[in-house]
Amino acid sequence: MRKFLTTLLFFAIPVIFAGVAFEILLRNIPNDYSYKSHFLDKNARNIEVLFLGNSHVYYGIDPKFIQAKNFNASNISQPLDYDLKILEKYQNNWDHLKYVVVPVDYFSLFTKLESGIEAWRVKNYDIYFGMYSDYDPAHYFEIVANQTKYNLERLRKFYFYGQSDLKIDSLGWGTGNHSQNSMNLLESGMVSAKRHRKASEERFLKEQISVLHKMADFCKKRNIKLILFSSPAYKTYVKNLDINQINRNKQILNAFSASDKTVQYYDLLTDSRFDSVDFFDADHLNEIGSKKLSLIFDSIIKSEPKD
Amino acid sequence: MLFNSLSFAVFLPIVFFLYWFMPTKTRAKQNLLLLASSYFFYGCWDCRFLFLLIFSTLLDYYTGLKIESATSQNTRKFWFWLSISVNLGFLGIFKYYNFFATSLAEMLSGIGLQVNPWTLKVILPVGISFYTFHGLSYVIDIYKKRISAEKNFVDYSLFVSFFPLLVAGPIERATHLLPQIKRNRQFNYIHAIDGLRQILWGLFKKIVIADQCADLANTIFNDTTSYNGSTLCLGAVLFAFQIYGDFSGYSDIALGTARLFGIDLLRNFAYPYFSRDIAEFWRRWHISLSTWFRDYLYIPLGGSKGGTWLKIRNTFIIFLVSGFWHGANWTFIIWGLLHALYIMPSIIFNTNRKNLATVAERKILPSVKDLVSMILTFSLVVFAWIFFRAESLAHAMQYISGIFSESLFRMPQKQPKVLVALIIFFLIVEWIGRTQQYALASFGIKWPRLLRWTFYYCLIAAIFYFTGPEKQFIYFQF
Repeated sequence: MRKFLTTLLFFAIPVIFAGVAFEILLRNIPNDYSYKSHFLDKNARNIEVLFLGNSHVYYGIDPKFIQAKNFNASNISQPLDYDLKILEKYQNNWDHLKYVVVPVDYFSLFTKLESGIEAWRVKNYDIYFGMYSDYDPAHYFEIVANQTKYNLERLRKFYFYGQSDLKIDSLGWGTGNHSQNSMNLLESGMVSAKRHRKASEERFLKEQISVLHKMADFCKKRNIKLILFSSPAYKTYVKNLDINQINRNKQILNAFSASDKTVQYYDLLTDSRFDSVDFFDADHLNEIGSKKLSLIFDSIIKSEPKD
Repeated sequence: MLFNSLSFAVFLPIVFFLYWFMPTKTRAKQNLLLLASSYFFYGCWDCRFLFLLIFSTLLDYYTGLKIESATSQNTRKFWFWLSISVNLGFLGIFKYYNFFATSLAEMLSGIGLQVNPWTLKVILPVGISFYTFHGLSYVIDIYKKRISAEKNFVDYSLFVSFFPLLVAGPIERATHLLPQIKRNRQFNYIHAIDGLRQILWGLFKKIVIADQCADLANTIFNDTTSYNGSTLCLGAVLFAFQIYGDFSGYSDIALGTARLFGIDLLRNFAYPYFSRDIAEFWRRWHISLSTWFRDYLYIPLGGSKGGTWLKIRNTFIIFLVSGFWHGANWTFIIWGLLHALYIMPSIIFNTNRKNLATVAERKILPSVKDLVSMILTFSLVVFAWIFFRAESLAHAMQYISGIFSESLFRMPQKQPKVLVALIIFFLIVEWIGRTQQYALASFGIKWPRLLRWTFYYCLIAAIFYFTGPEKQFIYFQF
């Protein structure tokens, strides 16, 4: 046995060394998650309006159009339970927080990050936000979350050309969806709707509704208003969704906001203020649309009675 | 928990160290540890199905004892058929109920009767076909008085649930595995190193060969109409390497892992793509299932002793059942029937045991005749894989008609040069090691340690380079 363990140790040393070095180098590349985590560590106490949620907020809310001190803490595919985890992580720091704005979209109540094709993103919360999501060790390492080919490309871009993984501005808005590069709205509508229909599973509904309740309780205890909304989307996306699930979502959210005075719900899914020029693809806004949506929320917040 | 996951890379060393270094080590304690680890391993998929596994184990353990202690033939028969029917009943409900319900409804609608089939929304428990077959062989062997019933429940449970073989085989026999479970096991350096080497080769097959082939094969199979004949042909060949790399890779990891605990499992693959005829292919592909069907279906049906027509009938039955074992879909049944047709000439002309020895034994290269035979056999196998991979019979027919068109002679629309190079490298290593249990058992074994280790590091680097989000093993669905 001793011979076996010695041989194994000698054989494994270079492999372990290479793995550790690779992991450290990858973690040193600045990315959206590390930036947002550091920002909240330093500035959570000053924030008045916090935007959470998925890519619809990540690309759709540009904080510079909102007067109050605010931050866009959303991330691509960030589900409701991770929104709650971010709120809870900084629970002792929200000294000035008055509004939490969270999208509840077609798929929000019917998906979980860990179960879908975006499960690889869980590691970002564990590594950069210091959360403890589950027992899967793969969720705590950069090297196993993505294809090594992709990770090598990240290393090359950062260490040879200085290009980091940051795709946001200083207040957390995703700058990648520019109107000049807009996608075909007909095709993207069909593709995204199909993907979101396929990803939706009934088994997550109960758990995500319970997350909404926890979020509402969290906000109520701290005198924070919770604003929920359905993100605007183009008609080619909406018409390809399951109408029953859309109606069910509306019903749940209307009932939820009606039963709790501290919660407001805005249904912007088919809002007529948004037109084709506002969309990068059928369910994401470009910089024109994000300005529009940000100003809508600015006016909602301004219209709120001051305490 | 997948073999190609980080969770398994953490789980395996923990179990290994506890197993060999536990204080006051006894065989009973080691077996208990392996059983607990196996249940944990299985429970990581879905805890609910753990109860099904334990129930199935309890049933076969109890009926085994009852069959053995029964004083009358009727009582023996009662317990025997109880076990068989409950085992097959579970398999039927979880795996085949929806298939029969929808097939019946379609048949009735064909004659003008509209029936709304009552289908079940059930998830197939991982490995149910494998552990059910373990239990069946055990009960049949007791009934036929080939073995005695196992009295120790932990030992029996470990025979059914030993984690390396639990979800995708090899399908073990009580006569082979139980004696090893009941024997004291000593750590053996050579065996352990060999086990690690086999795990390494299994991971290479799975991640570098199977998963890379899968990406392209899936693209081609999922969009059949967009590709010309030569690309579809390439897609079918890539699927052949995908399924081989995937399943034999799994088996290698299973065998290597078991060897770390001092246990030898049945060999499941013996270089099937170097077969010179279909009969040889079936002696080399999924050996534990083929021999299971031979011993528990083909021979009880009369085997090859009752004349040519009986042999033909029995051959069709086992290939039909083998196809159906893989899944409730007509595509698997046609796949099985195609193989039955392929093997027919050798059954009729009694040439099915012509190629028993390894091809080109003690030679570097095969003869032209052997090479042609191997290519022909491989082509037949690839053709049958199209049915196995297709979503439906219509999809398979569309795929085949796409291949056999004038575009077959055009350049493929996909030219995966790196993948082809990897497959060639893989075939070379397999060819060199074709007389061994697994290819890496002999490859480079006489090289100086530095060179050999460098080769292993290269394999690890390739595995690491191509690794990505974990991909399931194909045979988990069966």
